[in-house]
Amino acid sequence: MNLTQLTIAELQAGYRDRKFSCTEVVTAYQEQIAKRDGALGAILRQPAMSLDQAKEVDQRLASGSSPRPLEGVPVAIKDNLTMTGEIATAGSRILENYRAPYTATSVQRLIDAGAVPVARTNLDEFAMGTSTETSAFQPTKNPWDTKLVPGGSSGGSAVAVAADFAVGALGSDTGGSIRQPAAFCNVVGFKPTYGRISRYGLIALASSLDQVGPFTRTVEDAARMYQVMAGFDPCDLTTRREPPEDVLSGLSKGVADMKIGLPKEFFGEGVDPEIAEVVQAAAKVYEEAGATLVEVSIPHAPLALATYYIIQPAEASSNLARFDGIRYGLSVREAGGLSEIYRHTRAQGFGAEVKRRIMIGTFSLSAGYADAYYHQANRVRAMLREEFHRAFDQVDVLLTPTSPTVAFPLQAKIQDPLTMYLADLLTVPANLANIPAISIPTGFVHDLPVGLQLMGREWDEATLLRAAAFYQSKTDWHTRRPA
Amino acid sequence: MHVQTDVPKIAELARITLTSDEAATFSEQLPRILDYVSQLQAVTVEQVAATPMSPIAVRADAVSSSHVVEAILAEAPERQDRFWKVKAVFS
Repeated sequence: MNLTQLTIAELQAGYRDRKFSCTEVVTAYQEQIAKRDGALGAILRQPAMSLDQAKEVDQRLASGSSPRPLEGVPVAIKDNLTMTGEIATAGSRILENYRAPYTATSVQRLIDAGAVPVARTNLDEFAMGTSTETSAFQPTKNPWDTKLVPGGSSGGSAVAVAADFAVGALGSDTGGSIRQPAAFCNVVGFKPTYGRISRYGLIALASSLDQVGPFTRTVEDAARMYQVMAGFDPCDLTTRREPPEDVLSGLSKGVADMKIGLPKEFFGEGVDPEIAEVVQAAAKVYEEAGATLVEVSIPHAPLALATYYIIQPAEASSNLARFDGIRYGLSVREAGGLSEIYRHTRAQGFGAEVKRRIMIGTFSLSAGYADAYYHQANRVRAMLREEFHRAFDQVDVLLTPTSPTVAFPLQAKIQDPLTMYLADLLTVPANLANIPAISIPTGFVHDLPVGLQLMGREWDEATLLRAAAFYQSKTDWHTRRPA
Repeated sequence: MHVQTDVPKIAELARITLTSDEAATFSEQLPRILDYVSQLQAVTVEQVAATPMSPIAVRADAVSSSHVVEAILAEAPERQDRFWKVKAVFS
């Protein structure tokens, strides 16, 4: 039995039936990392405590305590989510030696449910990127073809699941940073509604867009991780007060009653026609099961990327002002006075993409430009939200490709920022509209994975996950592994 | 139509010292990116009633003890007792 290829349910059954121990499982994952990560570069660090935590799980199981929802489940954590006493770099030199004094709520809830963190994963610097190439430390390679990117910004976490380094991984998604790498790596990547999972302990990129979410091999495992993490957190008052609905019990109820919307703006200009074809074929799987397909329209969807690339850099410029060499992180003190400390610390600590986005954001918020840029973008955002709401009056779930292309070669887009930004074309709308969205494997084009994106009504993760789980009950794309 | 960008002024506002190579690269890249996002200016926005986000909840203004002060200060580049040490604000 390959201990690194089990789902959460299979792991828990194995622990219950004493087929293997958590220590054996964590050891197996560590061996897999040692064997394969050299060529992939997904992992930045492995916490020292993993085996001790595995032993604690074994003691709990032996003592007869009833298992917690994620008992003994090895997980990988993106390096922009804090864990007490562990380094959290956010992929940046400015935090290269930063040891966090607190654990992110999302991570703490996984740990409290019995999960064992086994790795901290690579990311684009401060989550700014779509290829994991802007990491200050190393690029990460796509396990399907190591000359290609794994996507970004949560490339390390996507690869961790694709290469069997962990059962599940956490990422963050501001404009597609969970869903797009999931599509490139043939795994499930889920972004809940903004406000479902606490952002406390997520090193902020854009505070009105950021969300934490899971990578897994199956929709069921994503749903289990989501259920453990979701819910109000007094440390993040943008989280929803009402307790989250159960998403697990209805997961396999099927889609016969569902209306599936195909928004025409997501299948046209900019999208590889072969990808569009694969995704249209996926829609037929739903229709054959009794769901109704409906063509819908999100008229301002073509402006979503421009809207996003004003709002996100603006919020990023504000959030990254805290990296000033005073309270934590890199501090270039030789320079001179206070002002020089700021300028030289940030000059040396930030990479090019981070500087670029801070400057775009600074411009968009500056006197004389704020109304035409930042405030106008927020007005267009409100309009987009309204268009999605109207679409959900007609349908239950929207179905689109996740990415306009399959995985592209390393270095191919890094010289031209705009080309890199276009990778987010189909994913940013869900962040702007504050709705949940998931990418699931749906086939291959040129032997590279294609992701199917489903988007749901705000707060209706239950329907969205049910629609996603249905697709995996009828197809086996998600079981494919790279050689 | 190229958006006018004053890269040195933006860098000053952002508190980042740019090398001359960086200033040259950004002077070339920023206008193209800003041109792309400027297409929003042509949009006539209909009146939309809904606010983008749920109203923010508040909590009671009550003091609780924090156990992380020492862990926070351990990360300080320069500290003195319970304070972060900085260069003079007014020189």
